Amino acid sequence: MIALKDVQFRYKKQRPLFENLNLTLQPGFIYGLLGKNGAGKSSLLKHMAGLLYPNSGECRVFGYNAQDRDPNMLQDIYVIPEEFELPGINISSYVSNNAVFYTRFDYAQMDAYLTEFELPRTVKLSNLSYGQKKKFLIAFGLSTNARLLILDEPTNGLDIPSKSQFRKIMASALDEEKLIIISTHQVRDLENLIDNIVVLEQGSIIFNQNVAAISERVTFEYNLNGVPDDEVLYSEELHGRRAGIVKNLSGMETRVDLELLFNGIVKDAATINRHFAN
Amino acid sequence: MNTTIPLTLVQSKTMNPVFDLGRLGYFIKRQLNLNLNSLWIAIVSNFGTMLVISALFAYFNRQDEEVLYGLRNMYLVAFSLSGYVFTSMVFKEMNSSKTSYAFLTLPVSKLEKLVGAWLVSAPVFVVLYGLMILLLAFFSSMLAQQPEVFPSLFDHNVWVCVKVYLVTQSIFFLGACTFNGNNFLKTLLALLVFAFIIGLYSTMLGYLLFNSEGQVVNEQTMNPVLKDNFTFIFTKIIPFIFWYLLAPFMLVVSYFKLQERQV
Repeated sequence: MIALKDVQFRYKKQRPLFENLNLTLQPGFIYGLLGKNGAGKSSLLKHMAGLLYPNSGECRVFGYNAQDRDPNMLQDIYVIPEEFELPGINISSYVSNNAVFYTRFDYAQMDAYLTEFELPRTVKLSNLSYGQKKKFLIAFGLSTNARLLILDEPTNGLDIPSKSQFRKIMASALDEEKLIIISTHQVRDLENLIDNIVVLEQGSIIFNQNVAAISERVTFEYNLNGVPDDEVLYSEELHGRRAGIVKNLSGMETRVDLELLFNGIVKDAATINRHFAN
Repeated sequence: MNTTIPLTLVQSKTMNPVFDLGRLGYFIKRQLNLNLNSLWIAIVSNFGTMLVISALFAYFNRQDEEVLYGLRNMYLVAFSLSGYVFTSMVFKEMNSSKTSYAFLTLPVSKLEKLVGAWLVSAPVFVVLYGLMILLLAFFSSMLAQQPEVFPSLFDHNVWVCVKVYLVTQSIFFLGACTFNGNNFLKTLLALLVFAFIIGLYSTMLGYLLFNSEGQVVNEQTMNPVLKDNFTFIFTKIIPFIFWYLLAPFMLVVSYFKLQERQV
């Protein structure tokens, strides 16, 4: 479990980014961390990995204080950042030099992921394309069997087949012990993958709901003609029509449009949260 | 894949969070392997340059014993400079924004990272560079047709130089932990600023103590108690601080710097 309690944080000479931020994430779920540029998504992920320290408050990961960077905690965390550089050695050397630090590393699993992603094993990592490097890190990260997997913009640079491979692999890698956090702008890439949506805005968590609950409580309409105004939680112009988020009065589960939901939350989180609270 | 990646050693599920010899070994191996290419380039270019210089000097100054000692001194200067540069780069992965996440989230304790990096930049470097100097000195003495000089090249001065390196490299080690990029130059600058401040402070203190009323200080006019104090400070205290306290202090501060390190 990850628990952030009253976290306050500011970068040097800048206004505070997090003020009394509280968040609890449970294993067994894939969390989608959404937010606009500069909302603090990457900083929040860095706090969870012990890469940034809060000015006050605490961040605990599986019972450890994240900023202690205890090896027992670190072998249960794997971070795939948005920007990275890999050394000029081949995949086999990289794996043999790094896998030993992860007690649950599974070589057969790694082999299967490399085959699935069609990654050449003998080419130097530094010579791979950005997308291939990313696929390699995803394969390595999943093979560590770390309980917490943090992915910052994982689908950036992936081609269309790789994105669907990614969704398939991530969904199959999840078990009740694991917690996967995916931060992204490309919300469509994560549809049907994430279980919980966490929205960060100006350093605060403005929305944190389970996808099942969302699909039960609201529906996403692409033509609001005829829908009573008091049922509309949010609306926007979409291809000449009024699309929006509407109260789901039937209770039947509906498909969640992450993009529309995100826009609605960012524009008027209070109204949407009020509906979920009722 | 299974044929190319060696089987991992069986590890226990819970690890010693502070220090584990096995994990330290893996860490040193990882650091050396990840930087193998740049290490080889540095070793070959260093060795090649000194080999050419040695060959030219030894060949054109045959029978001149002093040339061999001069070359030996050049090796020692190159040893110290290379060591300081190498030490400054020992946390290169941590100091780059695109790789720091990998270094800092590697399941290795701060103490192991510190000890591993120090072992590579101090004893391992001394042994490897020492072997290189041995080869170069042997080659030079053969080319100068004075093989009998070879053993005497490794006199007391060499060991003093190694000891001085082992102490002073800890300053560059701290610089490697502290600065983000250009660590060698930044450490040099910090040393210059520090020396300037100490120099300024000593001058001002000397002026206030002795010369503010036009008093000239020399061996004869100096107060004997003050003279004894100065002698004690310069012959006992300062050497003690340099040889026994400086390096451990720098390493302890480096540990805290690693602990504080964020991306």
